[in-house]
Amino acid sequence: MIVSVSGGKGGTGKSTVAVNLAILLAEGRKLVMADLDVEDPNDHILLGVSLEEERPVNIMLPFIRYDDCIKCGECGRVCDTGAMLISPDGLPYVIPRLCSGCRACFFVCPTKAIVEGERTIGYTYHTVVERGSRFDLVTGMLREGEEHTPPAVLAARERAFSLPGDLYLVDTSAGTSNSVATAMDGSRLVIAVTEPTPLGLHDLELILRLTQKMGIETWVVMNRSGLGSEERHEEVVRRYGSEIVARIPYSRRIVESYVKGEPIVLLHPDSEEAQVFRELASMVEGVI
Amino acid sequence: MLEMAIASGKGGVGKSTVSATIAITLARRRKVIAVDADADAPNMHLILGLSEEWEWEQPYSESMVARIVTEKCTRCGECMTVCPYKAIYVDEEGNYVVNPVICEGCETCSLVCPVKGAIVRDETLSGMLRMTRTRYGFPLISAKLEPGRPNSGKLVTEEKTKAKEMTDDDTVIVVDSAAGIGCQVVSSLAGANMAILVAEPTPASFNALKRVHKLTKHFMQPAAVVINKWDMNPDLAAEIEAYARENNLDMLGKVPFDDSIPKSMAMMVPVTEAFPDSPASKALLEVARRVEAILDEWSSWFMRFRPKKPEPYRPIIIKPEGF
Amino acid sequence: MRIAFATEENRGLNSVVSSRFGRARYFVIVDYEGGEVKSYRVEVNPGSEARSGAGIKAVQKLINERVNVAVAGSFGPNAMTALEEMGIRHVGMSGITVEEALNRLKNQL
Repeated sequence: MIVSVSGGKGGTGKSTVAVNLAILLAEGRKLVMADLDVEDPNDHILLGVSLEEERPVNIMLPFIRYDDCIKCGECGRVCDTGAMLISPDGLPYVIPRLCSGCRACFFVCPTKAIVEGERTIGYTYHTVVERGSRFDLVTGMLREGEEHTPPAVLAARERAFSLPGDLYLVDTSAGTSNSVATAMDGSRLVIAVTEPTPLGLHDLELILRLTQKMGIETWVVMNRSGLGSEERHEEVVRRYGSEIVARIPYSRRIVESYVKGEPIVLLHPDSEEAQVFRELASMVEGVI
Repeated sequence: MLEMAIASGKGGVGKSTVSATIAITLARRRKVIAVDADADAPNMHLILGLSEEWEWEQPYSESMVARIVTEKCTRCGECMTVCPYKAIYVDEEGNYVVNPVICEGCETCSLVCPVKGAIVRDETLSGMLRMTRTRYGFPLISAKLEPGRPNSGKLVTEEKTKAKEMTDDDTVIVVDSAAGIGCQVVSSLAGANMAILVAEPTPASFNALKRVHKLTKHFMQPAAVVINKWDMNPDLAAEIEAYARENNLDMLGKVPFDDSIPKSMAMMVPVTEAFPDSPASKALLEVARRVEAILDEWSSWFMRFRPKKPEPYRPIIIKPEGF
Repeated sequence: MRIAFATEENRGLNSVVSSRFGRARYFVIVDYEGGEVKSYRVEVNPGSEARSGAGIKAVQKLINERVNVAVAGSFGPNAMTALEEMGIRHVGMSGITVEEALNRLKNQL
């Protein structure tokens, strides 16, 4: 079963919620966590662990067998991202950095003059985490200079799902782009993290629209509760048929735990904040 | 005309607050246009206390989404095999369907489909482009990505195009960049004369700062750093400052952690208007003043902080046999 | 020598050179020989309408037009790579008219 943690706005505490939930849900079951925020993964930082077992994420890169090329130019025409330039003498020329690896050129070439090579656009990692409880963390990371996130998200997802587990917890990236949709695809439940500010409200609605489009049950967690009015958030949440299942108080202790890189359920296990996480974890357990 | 991009690599560190303060301060003496390039989660209009009433709004369409015509489909499954995004699935009735919130509209599936016309591509709404005038003397160009559409460098560029239609020779364009390092950020930075990098003293934000810094080096842009909520972790803040010094980045200032910022955001008023004497406001205004000073002596600042050598991106390539 | 200037307007040699390349609206393509303009024309830049990879579509246009030098305020990473790989020189200059730019470039060409 897959549970995803998301939240339209960056910085609402999505990763903090994901990491604390992971530690609690790993107790008594085999948990695999996937950090799919490939442009800037930081669950390993919040957990204070290093990234290990690096594996490249490779996508297809076309190579041209010029002897077989009949200069029809079809590959250039069909290239979606402009990675295939046609030189002055009619020969195709690949700009590796721009290629999204979709292979349209490979399929369209009438003389099979295009051969598949590869390009490394990022990496996936696997770390065994022993912080309180034991679980697997798979992290996806895009190489700087690369712009195209879906292949890295897919590769990290596949690696996570290839590990044996009773529960898969996915930390998506912020926003509502198709990368986020790819990350949460197939989830039984999405936990959307928001905060009681106009910014949080605005982005909450965006994430609820996305999960509605995808037909996935969504629970809302209010982080930094007490900071401002939650009335309009409650309205929006109701309108989308969801509910606010947990409220994490705005506290100096949470900030401290974030700064120290030590999850609150480990740093202050008896605190009010840790208790909220424990209740949330047992609600998730109720669904499994 | 001068264009400055404010970037952070990571959301939630206070980038938009810094952009808003700079825009408001500069607008007192100059012509300013603000561009909210974070179409995935646009926040500038909220920080500036504007309602969702735009002077103009226009739908923006750039993407295509593939669609399988069920009556023609022979269910061979080739499309599902080749789709690079895993956007094609089989529904309960055994029909092959394209998931519109994952599909990126490349032509691959239609190229392998054995039946002519069984897979078509429809143009879809990518998002909305909109503009409003703020009460601080400058217009704001904003955009909102439709959920499930790919992050778009072109939408950001379209925003900047609209902004440039409204500029004169002496206008300053303040771009609140998107978060991350993907194409939307590359477009946010492209064409800017300078970058302002905002970070908070957490390991995640520092990491993100370094990644975005690499992009500015690629663009040969002089850059400056603002550390937000610096007293959250003075040691790490000092490390970030050291990084700035070692890498020829101008330190613009440090803003303390101050709850006047979330309070003012809840009031939908910029913090420098709501709580002008708060520690955060004072520090932010000092940052804005330093930006003004940079504009006043632009060429010498530019010469001093411009990266000396270009740092091109080098792809990692694995050649097939025989090459 | 054939030089392409990125511009946002079509005012011939009086067009102002654009600060950007990939999505500039037009290219003013000048045939420059012996220190003077032999001919010029203005073409729409296909990059201005491209979904993504605009810089490349712009470079493809210049390749098709057999341009030797590209002039704009700045070049995005994609365009820069493509121009260099294709052996087209790129010069950073903007905010002045094509005519003025030609005068400044005269000595470098």
